[in-house]
Amino acid sequence: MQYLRKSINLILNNKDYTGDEDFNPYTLINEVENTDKLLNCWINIIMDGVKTRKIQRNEILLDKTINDILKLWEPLLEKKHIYLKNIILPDNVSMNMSEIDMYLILNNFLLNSSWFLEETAGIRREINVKLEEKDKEIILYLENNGPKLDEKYKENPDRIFDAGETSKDKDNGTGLGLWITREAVIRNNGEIHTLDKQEGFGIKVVLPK
Amino acid sequence: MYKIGIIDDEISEIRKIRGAIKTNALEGVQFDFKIYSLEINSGTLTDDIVNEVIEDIKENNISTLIIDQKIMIETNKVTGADIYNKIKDAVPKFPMIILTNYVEDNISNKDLDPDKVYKKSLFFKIEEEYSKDMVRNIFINASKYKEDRAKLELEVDELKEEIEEKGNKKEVIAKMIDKESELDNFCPTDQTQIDKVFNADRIEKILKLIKEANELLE
Repeated sequence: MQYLRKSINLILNNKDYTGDEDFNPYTLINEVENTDKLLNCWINIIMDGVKTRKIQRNEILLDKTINDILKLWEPLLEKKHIYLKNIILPDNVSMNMSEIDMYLILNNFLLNSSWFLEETAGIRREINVKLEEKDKEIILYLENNGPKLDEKYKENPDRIFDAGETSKDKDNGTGLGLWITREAVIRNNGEIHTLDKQEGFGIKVVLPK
Repeated sequence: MYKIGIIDDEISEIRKIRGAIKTNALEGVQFDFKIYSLEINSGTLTDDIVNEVIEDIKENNISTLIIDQKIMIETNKVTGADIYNKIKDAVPKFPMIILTNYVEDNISNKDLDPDKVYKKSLFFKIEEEYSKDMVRNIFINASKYKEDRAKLELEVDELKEEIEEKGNKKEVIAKMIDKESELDNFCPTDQTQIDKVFNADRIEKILKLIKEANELLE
């Protein structure tokens, strides 16, 4: 893009563009750059977690890993007017796990939240992430202020984590996202549950230290 | 001169819509744009927009409307189909199109005319036939709307003059009501539902019945 800007500068003899604003080449380049950044974010979200070192089990700093993932998501969420609001991540909380599992947990939750929050109107769309360290376990709370869990899961809310279960319509949901999330939690000997919330949707991930 | 209304939440897309039209409009056609502002904190955003558009149609301020299907702002979400349907209910003959990347989803909406749903990504490919055809359609429909409306307005004015000159002749009044009802499809004339179903013959029969009933009572 820098070359393209330079080329246009040369064509315009280093003078300002004075033509129709809808065809302002500099504005158009800026827009292409923004689209490029967003696409790049998506590619990073998909590719970052599957780097070899992240597949291997390691002692990882959870606050850093979670922060890194949220940073990747932030521009995409903001484009949809969704904001990461209460992000509570105490320093130096570490755990032995493969980073890819944390990517799977967060990516699926954020992707789901984004879909449901997009359907939400009348409120500022927000996502909260909270990490808590206890003696024997680490607890991760992931919440959004979108729609509540579908009524069909009222009797057994955790059924939403079963393969094939989804609150979305058949064209939009595979029912695999939260199942993959649960598989990632189980691989780390943890537990996952939905949060009993008056408003919005949330999950609680408990990982033993 | 055509005034093209645009309802979209993203300035970059508004620029592309204008760009496609400027590129593919036939030579010599004059046009301008009106961009509808979307109030972030309005709880009644759809109705606010619809009311503003209807006022503009009444005042002849716009001759066609382009609506983005997915409008998301800070705390609000509006679908173009909702706006489209509400305006269509009030002004059935006003030309509008919806721009979307998910044409199939919108075509399956039985309330939408598939011809009025344009694929955004193709519309923005300004050098390709699809974009050229769609821009041409926008102007053809706007032109037809303007002509039909102007013709009806003229007919209504002539009938008004006839009534003023020759008095309240039943046939003229009936014709006037028909034309006003027809015009109401192009431009809301603030007719009531009673006005719309008003029929001179029926009124005459009712009056006759009332008269007969009065005579019987006497």
